Amino acid sequence: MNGSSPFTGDLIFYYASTFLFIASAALYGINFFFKKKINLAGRLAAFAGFLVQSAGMALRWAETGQPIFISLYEMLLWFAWGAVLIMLIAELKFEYKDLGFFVLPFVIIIMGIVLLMPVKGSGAVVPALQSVWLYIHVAVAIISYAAFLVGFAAAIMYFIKKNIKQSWFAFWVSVFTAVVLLLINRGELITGRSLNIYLRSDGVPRLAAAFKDVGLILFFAFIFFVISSFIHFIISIKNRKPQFKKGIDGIGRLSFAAGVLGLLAGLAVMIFRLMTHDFLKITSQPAILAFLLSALIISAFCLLVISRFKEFQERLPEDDLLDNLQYYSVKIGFPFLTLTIITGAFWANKAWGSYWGNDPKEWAAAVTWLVYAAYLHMRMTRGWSGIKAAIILVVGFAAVIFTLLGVTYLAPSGLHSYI
Amino acid sequence: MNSVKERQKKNRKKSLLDFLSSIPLAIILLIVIGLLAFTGTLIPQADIFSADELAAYNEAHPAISLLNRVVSSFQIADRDPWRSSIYGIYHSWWFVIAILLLALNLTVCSVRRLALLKHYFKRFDGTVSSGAGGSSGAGFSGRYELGKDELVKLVRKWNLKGFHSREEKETPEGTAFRFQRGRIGRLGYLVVHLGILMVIIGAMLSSLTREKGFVWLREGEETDRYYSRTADAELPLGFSIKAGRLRRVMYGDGKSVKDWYSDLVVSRNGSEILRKTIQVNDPLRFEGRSFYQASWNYGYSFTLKVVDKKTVESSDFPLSAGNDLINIEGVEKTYSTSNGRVFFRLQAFYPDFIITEEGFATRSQELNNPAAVLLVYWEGLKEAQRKVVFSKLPEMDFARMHQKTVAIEEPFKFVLDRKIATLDVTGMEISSDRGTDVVYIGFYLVIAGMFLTFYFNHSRVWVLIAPARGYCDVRFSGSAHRNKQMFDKELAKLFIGFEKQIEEITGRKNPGSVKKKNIKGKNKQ
Repeated sequence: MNGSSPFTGDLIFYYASTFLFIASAALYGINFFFKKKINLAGRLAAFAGFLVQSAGMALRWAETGQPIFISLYEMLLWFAWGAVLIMLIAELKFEYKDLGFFVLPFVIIIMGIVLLMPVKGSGAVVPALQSVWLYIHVAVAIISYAAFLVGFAAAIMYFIKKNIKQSWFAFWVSVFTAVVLLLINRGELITGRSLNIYLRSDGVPRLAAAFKDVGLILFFAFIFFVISSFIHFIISIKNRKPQFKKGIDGIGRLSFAAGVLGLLAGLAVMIFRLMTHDFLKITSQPAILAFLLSALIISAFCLLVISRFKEFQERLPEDDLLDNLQYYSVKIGFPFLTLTIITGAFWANKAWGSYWGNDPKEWAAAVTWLVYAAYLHMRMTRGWSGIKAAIILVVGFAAVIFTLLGVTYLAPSGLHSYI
Repeated sequence: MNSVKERQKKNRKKSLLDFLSSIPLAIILLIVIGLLAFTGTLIPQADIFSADELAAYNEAHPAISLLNRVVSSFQIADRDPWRSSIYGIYHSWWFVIAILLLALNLTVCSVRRLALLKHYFKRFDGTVSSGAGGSSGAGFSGRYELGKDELVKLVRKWNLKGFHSREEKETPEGTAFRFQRGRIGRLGYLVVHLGILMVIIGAMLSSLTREKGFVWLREGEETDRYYSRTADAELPLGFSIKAGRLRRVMYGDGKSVKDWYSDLVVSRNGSEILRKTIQVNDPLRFEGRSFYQASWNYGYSFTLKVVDKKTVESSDFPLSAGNDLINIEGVEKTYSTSNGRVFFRLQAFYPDFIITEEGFATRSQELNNPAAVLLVYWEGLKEAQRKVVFSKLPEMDFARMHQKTVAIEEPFKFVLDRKIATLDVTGMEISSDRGTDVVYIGFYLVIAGMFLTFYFNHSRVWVLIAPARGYCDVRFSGSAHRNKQMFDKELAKLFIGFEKQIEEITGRKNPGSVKKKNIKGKNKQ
């Protein structure tokens, strides 16, 4: 496998599964809002997507003849696969039919990143990876991360149900989106008002193209999100006169909506520019596209939530069920995260001679473990359970994403250089 | 006066204990340790990065450099200065203290909660929990026109799923039953906490006793010493280790390594003790030390001849060289010719010699164009001269080609023998760590404890059969540690099943309709 071109025969399956997940999310949405009796249609579509994805991954495993746990690409495939599986199990267990509406947007983001990745390879199974521990370590990690994703979605549902001010949602998502836009090309997108495309040659990034129009659109989106976060912050904290609040609330929402539209337009123009470019391809800038896609899906979903907040509240199940759902996800995720760390330690001891190497990825997993341990203890403590515990669950999921993706890109490299 | 003071003292002691064993303290410590550890993932740490890399990073990031200066000022000095800085968070005293506090917190908490735990393991004294309120979920009761003995027999025959423990006691009120399931789950948190404590103790033990070293062995080479990284010195092993056959297996592309194998023999005083082929992920262990397949290098052994041009006498110098592992700086030889002495030093050996922009290099590891680079000095020359000796082109004098004027004809020449053997060299990481076993026991305990905690839900069902004139009152109540809603449903099912059984006996529908109640508390989980 190594050295020759990577196997891509399974790619068509992932396009199909992503399409099915999008369709499923739409069906879940229709069911959620209009209470049409099509609830099983969404679930069936998600299950079909799950089967198609499984088939693609089985094909990949068979064709490459090596464990498909090696690259980030393969890890993300498993992540989406596991999240759908656990979501379906939780829906059956809790006899609750709308969970998919809240979980699938995140699955779609993961699949979007998968499809955008330029290198769809698997990499060589270097000697250190040739161990039965590879299978155990990665398998338990996938179950844990997938369960935490479902728990994260449940925490968001819990916030809505528990009547957290909509302005707080709008504030946090605005800040998140503005920061994402600010991070692109290390701030260059905003300061230069141009989306510069860099390609690496000989390890040095070189400017390949500058999309001024995309940069300008995204710059305006950024401004709108900054205005939106500012206004929503004021609304959230100050008990001003209701009239004043009403006045600026409209402006806040408008700017939020304008920001989402700007993101959509920027992304669309960027994709168009990439596709029509002489030598650039749609997969030339996976990181930026992934950032924009995540920001767009999350902010659009948030726009939907804040504009139809009451309906969301009415249609969400009782908070006890949502609390149980969060606990259920941690009940699966936490023991499996523990197993991930422990099997990793066993493996490291076999391969490198010590069970713990102070590697950034090891500590990132440990941080995640500590956060979820804090959640479990908060849940038993009066005054700390409920909203506060749910906030910790969101922090925990951020730690999961950091462990899976962030360490590889933000932290200095360590032992986990392969993934 | 005295007693007040004493009481105050006692109270203070108690409140300190309360604080130390409190869950909020645990939560705060978990979050604080998490934040510190998170910082360590963002800033490169001395455990992974070299001093040069850290210095470069420190220079490139002025904000972190400033922060580092603040942090370092109240840090305890370490042998490695980078470890006593922000680049050594995991070794800092405040990080260790936070972890020790957590250990203290969970120890005190676990011990104090033992008393609570005892309550669940007491024998059944006939007390029937009311069902409503407390920690329990639901309760049901019914009145049946049946004799007490009949009802007791019925309950005794029950075969409840998972409820392996059935206790029965006669009380003044009537006959009381208690069914239990998953009581062992109550011990889960204790086992987890004990496990975490073992992991912390083991980790401390590791940091005190861990020793790391390295040894390079050529095929056939034997050593009883190794380089200790911890002590930064060469130390004796206490036995000797010999490398037998070394093998390297490549992937089909011929570039990436699939695996390395080293046959090792451990012996002491000449007698063999142990023999094992190690590979990555499969080390050799002996007397507390483990030998891990960590690196590999390719070396060469060859013979350099120095020929006296006048007398045509020659002398052989067997030499060996590898990429970067065998210290060739030390290989310095002297040869006396008929015209003064020659000193030479082997600088490098290239199996597939090539000249690039950056200087000499090798194209591959194959012996396509072997060349030795020497630094030569003899008494007739003013300064040392670099010579490249090719085994395939013995007449080529590289130094002459690149010199415009050749002053003196040298009275000697170098010849690189055509017989060159490749030499694989295995690099092994050696480690010994007395904490590992303790940590592993901790790991097993944590796994076992979590299994108990999450998958054993202590549930209890009480049944009280109270006889009266002509009828019996039967009261059902239950309590579950977790997942109370599910348990409520289970209890309701149990009650319905019970009524069905009575229906079959009496032949009457709704046998308990005389009095029936359903108490349902609002519960979590």
